Amino acid sequence: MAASASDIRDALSLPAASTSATPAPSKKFPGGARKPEGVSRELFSLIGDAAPSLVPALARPRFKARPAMGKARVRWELREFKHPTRDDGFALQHWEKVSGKREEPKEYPFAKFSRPSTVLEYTDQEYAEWIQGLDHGEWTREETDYLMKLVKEYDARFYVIHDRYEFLNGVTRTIEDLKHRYYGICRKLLRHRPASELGDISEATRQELVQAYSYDRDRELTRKNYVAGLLARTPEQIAEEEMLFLLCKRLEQTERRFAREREDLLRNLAGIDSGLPNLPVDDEPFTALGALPAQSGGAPSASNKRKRKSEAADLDSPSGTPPVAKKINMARHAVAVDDEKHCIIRTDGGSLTVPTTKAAHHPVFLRSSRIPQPKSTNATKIQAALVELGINFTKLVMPTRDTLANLETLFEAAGQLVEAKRALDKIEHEIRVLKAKKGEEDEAEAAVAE
Amino acid sequence: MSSNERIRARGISIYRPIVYGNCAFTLTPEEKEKSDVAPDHTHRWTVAVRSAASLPNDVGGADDISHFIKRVTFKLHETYPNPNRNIDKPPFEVTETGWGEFEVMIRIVFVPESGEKPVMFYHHLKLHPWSATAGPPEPGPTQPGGQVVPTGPLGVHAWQYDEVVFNDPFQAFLTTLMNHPPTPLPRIRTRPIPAHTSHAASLDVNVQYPPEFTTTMEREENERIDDARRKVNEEVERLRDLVLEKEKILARLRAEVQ
Repeated sequence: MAASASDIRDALSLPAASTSATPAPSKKFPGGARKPEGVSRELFSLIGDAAPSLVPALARPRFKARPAMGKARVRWELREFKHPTRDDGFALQHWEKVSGKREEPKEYPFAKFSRPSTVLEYTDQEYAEWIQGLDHGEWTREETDYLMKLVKEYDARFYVIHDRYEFLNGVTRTIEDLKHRYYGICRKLLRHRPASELGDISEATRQELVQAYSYDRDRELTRKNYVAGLLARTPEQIAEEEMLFLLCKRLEQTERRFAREREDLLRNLAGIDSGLPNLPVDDEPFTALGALPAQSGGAPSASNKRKRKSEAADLDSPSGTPPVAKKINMARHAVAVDDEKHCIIRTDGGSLTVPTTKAAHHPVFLRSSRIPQPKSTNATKIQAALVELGINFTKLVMPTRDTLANLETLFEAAGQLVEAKRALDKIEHEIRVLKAKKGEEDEAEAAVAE
Repeated sequence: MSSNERIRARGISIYRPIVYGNCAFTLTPEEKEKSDVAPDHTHRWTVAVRSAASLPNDVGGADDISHFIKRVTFKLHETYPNPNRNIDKPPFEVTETGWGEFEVMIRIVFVPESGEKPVMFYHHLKLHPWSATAGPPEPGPTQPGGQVVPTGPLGVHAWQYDEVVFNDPFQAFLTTLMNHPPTPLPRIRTRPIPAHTSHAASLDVNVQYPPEFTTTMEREENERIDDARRKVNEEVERLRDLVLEKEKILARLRAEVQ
């Protein structure tokens, strides 16, 4: 426990110290060390000056001092004020703080925001020349002047103008009509007033100003109707719209894929071009009819063609005609012959599966580098089995697609051979075991019998 | 549009048949006299990469292959000066004199419009005549000073048929290839077939003409493979029958032991 000076004096029965020795707050530690803020009293007495760093002290949040409230008394008073831009002397009232000193009533602070509107005015001559010719419906001179007056007064706030619009002959104008007339006049005058009046402006600036007054009445009408319609949708309609929107998005995503698949299906099954637009086609994908030289291709390709033709004819009968199928087969035949000439092999490329637009490109290779090897699990055994039979095919004399395929089948057969051998060995082993066992039993019986 | 460099013709695989290999002739005494031939050289050989269809008096070379091959590099044995021989225009071949057989590394660089990386492979240079009992040539160079068997006037030929396969070629490249269709190999055999280690019957010593690759060779190879497969299948059948018999014996034994 920390000991204070008075505690020590009590303990040692010392007389009370003179006032000069101890300062007024008696809780001073010997040595004058004051415990730092972030540290509790007990901790400080334990570890003394080796207190932890200032980080805990800084980590504590520093709060703002509480604002001094409720000290002063403020009174508020409802006072009249005048707006300088009003010319009819109308005085409104507002609450103002009342302070002790009486001072000059300030200018209304919001007066500075009241900017005068720039209003268009035209002379009679201008009216006669430009504005009268405008085809805005039945607008007399008086009505036009009335409109201009209102615009000036209400600072081109057309909702207010429309509300206050009461021309004498009772014709009702919609907001769009008023706007149309007003902006039409503005544009016309702006375009045709001589430049000197408007100051030194360039053609481009004039164009910009004209643009500023562009107004399309019909478009505005449709827009407002549309927005009103949007607002007036029932919840069911909103839900339906959302569902359709999602459906549309989903369809768009898969449209491309669908189109291609549809095209392939139609072509493969029905032998017709679907005529669908916007198909991503780079080249006709095409199952190979036969790319071998004619020696082996003669018979199979003929039968292939016949099969395809009948297939196409069957599917065509409800929709197409046999001559179409025949023509297509002739085209296919021509392509096949061409392919043979150029040594082209067409693969399907997986047209009915998801097309991989960034499909891995298999680089060029020498055919001999792709000679199939027997499967690794049985590789050695297969090799041994083949050697037994006197077959050796590590290098081919003529590595072509067909020889390689043939070799592949050979290795498969060899695999089967190895498995058959394995099964045979297993059975022979079991027989031997059983025979041995049986031999023992017989001996035992014989021994017992004796 | 169709010749756009970036578009690949998907689903198309196009190949071109080539042959590569060498022919070798023993040097006559007067050739040996020439100054550029070292005294211990015994043969003159030419290693080449050519199209598979053959000219009348040589192996291969009927078609021009420079429309898809830009350059062929032959890397000879280190003992040759400048062992890396780059051949940038046809005919893609290197002729040299020497005494020993070694592995020549051949690298084919394709034309840039193909956008393909080079391919690399080896060819064991053959100088000495084939013999019916010869197996595959031993790896590594031969030793000098052995008995030189004369090759005869038509030389020793060692050629390998192969096919360069391009997958999904660029449209422009495809057009180039289609503009140069390869001459088809002859159907019937007029000249002897090239010797190959896989095919013992071809290692006939007495070849009269430069050999030639034909389509019959391919057919024969297919038949050989088919024969082999048939043999394997017969063996499988035999083993299966054996297994069935043994299973019966096994079942009988089991019954007896129980």
